Formats: sequence, structure tokens, C-alpha cells
Amino acid sequence: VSDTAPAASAPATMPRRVALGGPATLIAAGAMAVSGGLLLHWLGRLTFWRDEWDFLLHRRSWSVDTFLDPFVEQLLAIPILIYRVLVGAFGMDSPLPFQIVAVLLFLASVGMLFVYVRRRVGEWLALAAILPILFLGPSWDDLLFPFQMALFGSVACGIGALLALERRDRAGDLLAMALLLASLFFFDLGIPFVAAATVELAFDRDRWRRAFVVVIPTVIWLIWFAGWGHEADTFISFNNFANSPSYMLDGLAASLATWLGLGASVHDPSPLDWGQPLLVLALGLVAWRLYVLRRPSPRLLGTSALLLGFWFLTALNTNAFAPATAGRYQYLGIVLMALVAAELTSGLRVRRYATVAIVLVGVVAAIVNGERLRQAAHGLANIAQQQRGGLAALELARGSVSPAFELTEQNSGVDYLGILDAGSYFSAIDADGSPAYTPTELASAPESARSAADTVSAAALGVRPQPGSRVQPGTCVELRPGARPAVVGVPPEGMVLRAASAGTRVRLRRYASGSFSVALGPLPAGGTVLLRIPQDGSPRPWYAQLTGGGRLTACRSQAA
Amino acid sequence: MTPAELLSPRNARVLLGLAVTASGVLLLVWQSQITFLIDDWNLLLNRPGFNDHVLLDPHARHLILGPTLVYKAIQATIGMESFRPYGAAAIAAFLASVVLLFAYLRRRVGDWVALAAVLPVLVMGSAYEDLLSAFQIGYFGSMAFGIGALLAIERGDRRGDPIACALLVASLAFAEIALAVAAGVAVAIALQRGPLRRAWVVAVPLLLYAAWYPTYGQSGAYLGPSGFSLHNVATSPPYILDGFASSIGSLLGLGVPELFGGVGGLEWGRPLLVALTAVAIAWLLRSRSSRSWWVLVPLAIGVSFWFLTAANFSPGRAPFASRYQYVGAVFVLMIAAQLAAGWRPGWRGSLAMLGLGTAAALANLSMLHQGYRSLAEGSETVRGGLAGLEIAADRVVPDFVLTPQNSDFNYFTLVKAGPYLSAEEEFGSPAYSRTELVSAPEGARVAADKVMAAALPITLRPEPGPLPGGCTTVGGTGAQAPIVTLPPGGATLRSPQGASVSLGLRRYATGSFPVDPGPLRGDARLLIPTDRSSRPWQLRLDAAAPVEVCRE
Repeated sequence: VSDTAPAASAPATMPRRVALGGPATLIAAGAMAVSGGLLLHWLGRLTFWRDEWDFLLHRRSWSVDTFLDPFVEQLLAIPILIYRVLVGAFGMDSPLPFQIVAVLLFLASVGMLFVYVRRRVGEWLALAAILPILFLGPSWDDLLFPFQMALFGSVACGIGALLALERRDRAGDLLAMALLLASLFFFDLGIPFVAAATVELAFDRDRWRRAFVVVIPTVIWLIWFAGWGHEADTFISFNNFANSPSYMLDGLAASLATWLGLGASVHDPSPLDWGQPLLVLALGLVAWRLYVLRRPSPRLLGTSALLLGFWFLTALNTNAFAPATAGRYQYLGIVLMALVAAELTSGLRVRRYATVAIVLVGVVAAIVNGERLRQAAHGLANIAQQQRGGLAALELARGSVSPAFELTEQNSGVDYLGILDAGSYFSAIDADGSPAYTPTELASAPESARSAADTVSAAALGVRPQPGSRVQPGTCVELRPGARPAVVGVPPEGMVLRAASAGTRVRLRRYASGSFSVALGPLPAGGTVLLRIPQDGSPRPWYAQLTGGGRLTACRSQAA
Repeated sequence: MTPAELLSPRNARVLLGLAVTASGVLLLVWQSQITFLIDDWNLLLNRPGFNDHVLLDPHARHLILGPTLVYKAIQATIGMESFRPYGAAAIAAFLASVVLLFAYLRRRVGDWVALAAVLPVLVMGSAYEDLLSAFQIGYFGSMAFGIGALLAIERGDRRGDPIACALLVASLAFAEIALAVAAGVAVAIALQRGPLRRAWVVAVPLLLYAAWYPTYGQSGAYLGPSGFSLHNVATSPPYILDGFASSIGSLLGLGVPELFGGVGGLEWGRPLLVALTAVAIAWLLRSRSSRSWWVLVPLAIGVSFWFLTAANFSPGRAPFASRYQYVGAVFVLMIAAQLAAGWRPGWRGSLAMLGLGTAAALANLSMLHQGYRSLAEGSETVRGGLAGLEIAADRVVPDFVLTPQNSDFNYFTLVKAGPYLSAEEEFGSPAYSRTELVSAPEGARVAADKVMAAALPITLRPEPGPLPGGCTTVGGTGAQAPIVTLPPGGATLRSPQGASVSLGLRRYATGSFPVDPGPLRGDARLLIPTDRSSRPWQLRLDAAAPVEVCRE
């Protein structure tokens, strides 16, 4: 590696071939197409998840508050607008339109990064930089979660703003201002992007004439904060502030390791193991580079402010569920780190074999990260099946279930973060369609989906043993489930169970075939209970599995 | 005598000789307290006779022709009463590999640095699973022949090539480390002249392996599951780096083996690898010599070895596993020596390197001692359990398998009563004799009692009806629980209706009653078949209510 005197990046002087793209640019485009195709393929097996339900169920009006009320503590106006528009146009039968938009925004963000880095270090190193990001498995909860279009849009607009600033003309500045605003309205990452632009402009001779680029977005954001944002709950604390240096270092270390495909291994899941020593080395290289440069460029200071600002803000608002090593932060951390790295290395001439080695590292890291992405997609597909099964059961129970009934991890196997209640869900599907399995689809869905459906049905219908002893004469059978588990159909009018001794347990199933997912607990010794399951939208019968204990009598109950 | 004269190459070789001798003696002494443990049993018991399948069937999917021949030869001539001849053969192969490693290193960095480098390898405690195991003669043989092949190929002449080819084939017969070495030989040939004309040097062993794999490599009684998967291949890079990192940490004595609660040398190995890689890259970038490319030879070997291990990863095959550390450390040293090729430190530098090597050797020696104690303890359990099996020989069914539950040791189902007793009759017994068993450690006696109880087997079965004669009534719980010496054949027991009595049996054990025949409810017959030992069993009854014990 050697230094060259001038930076090789002024757009006006770029050779036409480089501007349009050489072989590495074509390969990058191909890799982006492959990434997009794979993401859409994997997303095709998923449905709406977690935070998306908030947009779909609780932000359905076109009032200003719908868009400007903070989500947790964030301004997500544009993502909410996108969801509103897509729901209006396509309904919510299928998550595909949302997934397509998210993937396009993700590719746009990576594409912008490629353009940015290419201008500074050439197309091959830019290719090496983006390859691991295109298949960033450790950030699966970004790449496979359309809700995170907020991040992608914010990054794409933010980098776009930095590129627009480079034009140094009126149109460029206006574009930069608009893109910074968009970045802010996509996600809070816009704040460090505005900070980066502010730092850069502060060193500019025309700083006062160009100040509007950052002043207008800042004022608008402050207006939002005064009107809406201040009401949000945050985790900001002095403790977080005091611990922010170590959090920031951990974040940088985790991002660096993840970028290189060393985010985790089969026997060791922490990205810090490799990240910390790599970060020490990287900081040494940065120090050496700064020494060589003598005077860092305004853009280097700006992108450094962007990277450190992002991690500082994240550290300030962290909580037990938001460690610096969380996969969802790594996409952002890596992209911002790439911007700084591009600035630092801008103007370096890298020898051919070193370039080959760096591209090779990028390819290998992409393969490692891609495999993790594939694994994550497989796990999410299973969750999606459970969701669609559970929601199908919720719809079947519509006539009986309380509108306040909430789906939880305990009653559905899926953590909905307390967002999904029956009333809001029914209201939304009436207006926009249902993403759940139909009853016919549910019957042939995977076992995990059917099992989840049974669990949700039991919770929604309030299935539990009740007091009751009136039986239809001549319908009793005697069982010994202690010796061998017994399976009996539960008649519509109910079943009366009388256990002679303690220890008999009852479990139920309806759509499931491989398991009895509804556990009703033990029967009282010597007592009589009535097991009656309220009718819902499915004519399919329930079955009870009886295990353990001693002699047991099961009788058909008299109709209520 | 000046320091420079003291640090003459000859003195380095004398010191190497002393170190090698000391290592050999130490390993021999410690191995004298160890017996056959796990994989040894496959060679000793489960490959009877002498045919192609005996020699070529895989062991856990590995070709082990060399170790099989060594074990067969020793078993046929000396028997299997003692582990020492097998251990001695392995130690000889290990020391040979270290001496050859020294030869490889000294060509690059001189005698004193090479000596400093091999010192920790000679007592590599983090690789105790290799150094204290006879079965690992496979690794040692493969490594020794492999390094020999590398030295031969460096000659670059007509005599060197066939020697290298033959040594690669021999290396392959001992372990698949040869495949990694073959990758290095291929790179070496590519860096020399006439790569295609000399490709046969690598092609012959690879073709032999390719022929073995489909014909024998996927069959046999002890094939084991394959860990190979595309997932493992895709995620191999972090594994490979962890492998190098763990080797560096282990070599420097900074790694605690998994068995002792550590993760090999990973904690220190990772930052060290990052730092050393940075230094190496800077060094290579400054260097204008075409010889720099030769680092690709050991690098190809190391990367190939860890890649093959990563591709076959499964639980128990982490990169910091003790048995990989010797191999990894050798490759790390070869890479480092190639990077530093031509470096000849002055006497101060040589002394510093020697100090570093000695410190690393001392740290490793301490860990080797821990490993020895762990294996010696396991050996006592094995010898006790096998003694129990031999005592029950007249009663035990041939298919009886020693398991962790019935013997306190995990033989991985490699020891069955039939093959063991047959081999013991033909080649002698490594177990404690009955006299030795009496004074063996408690763990050994516990294992013997458990194996006997399972092999005979001892049973407690309900037997209602009138009691035979010779009955006594006993009772008590906790410290007052009565202990009854049982007659040959066992006894009939009666507990009051509804009472549950805990029973415990022992024969050779003294500190506990390790055999649990199950709880006594009502009348039952405790049946203890007679065997080759006249020592009586003792029964402990933990009974709140009085229990009748009838000895007739």
C-alpha cells in the first residue's frame, strides 16, 4: 500500500468508465441482485412480525398523530406512511409488497454505500466492502424484517445527502437538505447524519451560506420533538451515559468482527471475541493513518462524528435488550464504519495482490454471513407458521373471544410484544384482509402451525375444566391412563371426568396431529370435572389425552 | 567462553537431545500409570485376525492403517497386559516428529530459535490427549512422515520426489493430516520448477486415498456419524481462525484445556493471532524477496488441516479440543519459521527466545501433569471395571456392553464382554488382578462392583411365599442402617406391608454401596449369581421398619 498525493475522487474528473462501472461494479450489481432474490425468497415464507403489527393495527388513520407519534422513542413517519399506502393499495393479505419495498430500500442503502466507497478507494475495494453486508446473517432481524425499512431508508438518504454535499452547488445542497430530512423522517439515524453534515459544513468557507442544509432539518426535528417526541419513554440515564465509552467500543468491535464474517462461531456466539483484538489493531492503523495524513479532512471528521454519534446515542438509550452486540445494530455499525474506512483510505494506492486478498476476504465473509442468514430464515419461517396458525385460530374464535384478548408467547408460542389484541386485529382484517391461514389451509399446514392454532383456540375460548357432574346415562367408559395414555374425543356437549386417584393429566388437540399442545393440568383425586369446549368457527372435533394416575371414568355430559 | 561460543549450533543440538530424552522419560513414567482408554479398545478388541477389512476399515471415518499395524504387532508379540509398549511406540513416534520439526525449523531460523520453538511442544500439556495416549501414534506418525515429505520435496531433485511421495503415503496410512501436508507439498512443487511434471508426488497419495474412501472408508462396524455438511463448510473461516488462535495460545502455555474448564488457548490466542498476522503482513509488504511466497507452503498445510476439521465439525470437535493442539502448534511453528526464514538473532535474541520457549514449556508441563492425573484416575476406573468384568466372566453374556452407567467410564460402546474376554484370554489382561483390586483406589473398586452387578447380573425380584430358614431381623436408617454380609447366591428379604426399603450393595468398595438393586417392597429374592471371586457381597438396608433377611 502506498500513498498518492491527491484524493482520487472528485466526481467531475472521474473517468467515464469508472462512473458507469467497471467489472467490479457489474459484479456488485449482480451480487445485489442475488442478495435481493435470496431475501425475497426467504421472506416469502414469512409473515408480519412483532413491530409491524403496531403499524398494521394501531396506526390505521390518516391523522397527523398516526405518523408523528413516536414509536417507542423514534420518529418513523415515512415507514408508517409506506405501510399505510401499501395497506391501502394491496391490503394485508400478503406481506409481499412490504417485503419488496424493504428489500429495495436495503439494496438502495448498500448501493449508495458502494457508490460512496467506490469514489474513494475504487470499485474493487468497494465491492469487498459491500459483499458481507449484502448477506449479513448476524443482522437477520434487519434484513429479514420489513419493519427495518426504516433503517435502510435512513441510511440510503443519509449517504445520499453526503454524496449530494460533494457537488458543492445550490442544487446539491438543496438535495442534501431534502435527503437529510428524509433520513430523519425514516429513523433517528438521521440525527447523526445531520451531525456529520454539520461538522463538515463547519469547516467549509461558505459555512453560513450553506448552513440551511442542516439548520432546516434540525429545526423541523426540534418542532417534532417539542410537539410529539418529548412524550416518548426513553431509557436515557446517567448510568448509560457513564457507561457509553465501553458500549461504544463494544459496538465498534462487534461491527468489525461481523463485517469480516467473525461475528459468531458454532461454539462461541459473541462477536466480541474476535472483535476486540481486531478493534485494537484497527485503532492502531487509524492512528498511523491520521499521523500520515497530518490533517484529517472535514469529511473524515464528519463521518467519524456520524459513526461515534450513532453508537453514543445507542449507548445513551440502551437497556437489557439492546446490548452493543445485538445483531440488529451491526448493519448500521458496519455501514457507518465503511464510510469512515473509505475516508481514511481515500487516496491510498493498493497493490493488485493486496486488492485480490481483500476481495477474497469480502467473499469469504459474505459466505459465512450468508449461511447465518439462511439459518435465521429457516427459524423465522417456523415462527411465521406458528403465527399464521395462531391467527387462524383467533379468527375461528371470533364469536367467543373478548376483544381485549391479547396474543402472548404463553398462549400462542410467539412473542407479539403485547401489540396484538383480538379487537384491533379483527378490525384490521375486516378492512384490509387476513394474513392467517384459512381453515382449509390450516388443516394441511405444518404441525407447528396446527399446534399453535390449538393453543390459541384454547386460550381464546377459555377452555378449562369446570365443576359439573351431570352425565348422560349409559355413556360412561372406564379408563386406566396410568398404564397406557388414553385418547378420547370431546363431544360438543362436553365430557365429565372422574379420577379415582391423583396424578391424571389432561391435554387437548384439534388441528395438531403429532402432539397435544394444550395442557389443562391434573385432575383432582376423587372429584368430578366437566370439560366443555365452547363452539367456534370450526366444526373440527377436539381430542383429549389422559395420562397418569389410576382409574378414571369419562362420560358424555348432559347438554347445557 | 563467550556467550556467542556457548550458543553454538552444536550446543543447541545437545540441549535438544537432552530435552527430547527428558520428555521421553517423563512421558514413559506418566504413561506407566495409564491404561488403554477409549479408541485403543477398537484396535485391541474389535479387529481380530489379519485381513483387508481389519487393516483398512475406518475408525470414526478415519484411515488408521499405520496404528492398526503397530497395535497388531505389539499385541501379537508382547500381548496386552501392559499399556507401556503401546505407549512407548507412540512416544517414539512423537519424539521423532519433534526432532523432524526441529530439522525443518533450524533450516529457516537456526538451531537456537528452533530449539526454543520445540521446547513447549515436547511437554505440550494443552495437547495431553495426544501426548499421553498410545492411540495418537496416528497423529505422531502422520506428522513425522509428513514433515519428512516436506524436507524431501525441498531438495527439488529427482531423488527427493519419490522419497517425498513415499513419505506422504506413509503419512496418510497413519492419519489424514497427510492430506493437509499434501496441499503444502503441492504448493511447494508449484513454487519450484516443473509443477505439472512433478504432480505425481501428490497425486499418488491422493489417488490412493480416493480409492480407499469409497471401498473401505464408508463401511465397517465403527464408522461413526459424518459431521460433514455444507453449513460447516460455509462457516469454516471463523473455525479456521479459532484453530490457529487456539494453537498459538496452547503453544505458549496460555490455554486451559476444555476438560479443566477452559477453551484451549482462545482467549489469548485471538489477540495474539491478530497482532502476529498484522506483523506478518507488514513484514511481507516490506520484504521484496521472492522467498516470501514460500510461506504459502505451511500456510496451505495449516489452512487445509483446519478447513478439513471445520468441514467435519460436530459436538466434541471444537477447534480448541486438546487433541488438535499438537497438530495446530506444529503448523503454527512452521508458518512462523517460514515467515522469519533467514533471521539469525544474536546471543541476546537467542537467549530471549530460549527464555520464552522455556516459560511456555513450563506452563505446558504443569498442564501436562494435570492431564496425566486425570487420565491416571480414569485408568484406575477402567482397570477396576475390567477386573469386575473378568470376575463375572462365567456369567456375563457376550453382548454385554460397558457403559458410563454400569462402569463409571465412557468406552463409547467399544468394549463388549465377548471380544474383551476373548482377547484377555489370548493376550493377557490389563485389568487389576483380584489381589490388586482389593488394594486399588476406591474409584476402581466402585467400578468393579458396578460392572459385576450389571454383568452377572444382580437382581431383586418379588417372591411372595413362606420365608426360608436362617432369618434375622434388622432395622435402622441413616448412620444406623444395618449392613449384612450375604452368602453366595444372595438372600430372601421381607419388609412390612407398605414400607419401602432402600438397598445398597458392595463387594470390593469400602466407602460406599455403589450398586442399587432397587427398593424393597414386601417379599423379594436378592439373587446374586456366583462368580470367580469368593469375596462376599455386603447389603446395606435403610429401613425405618424391621426387615427380615433370610440367608438360606
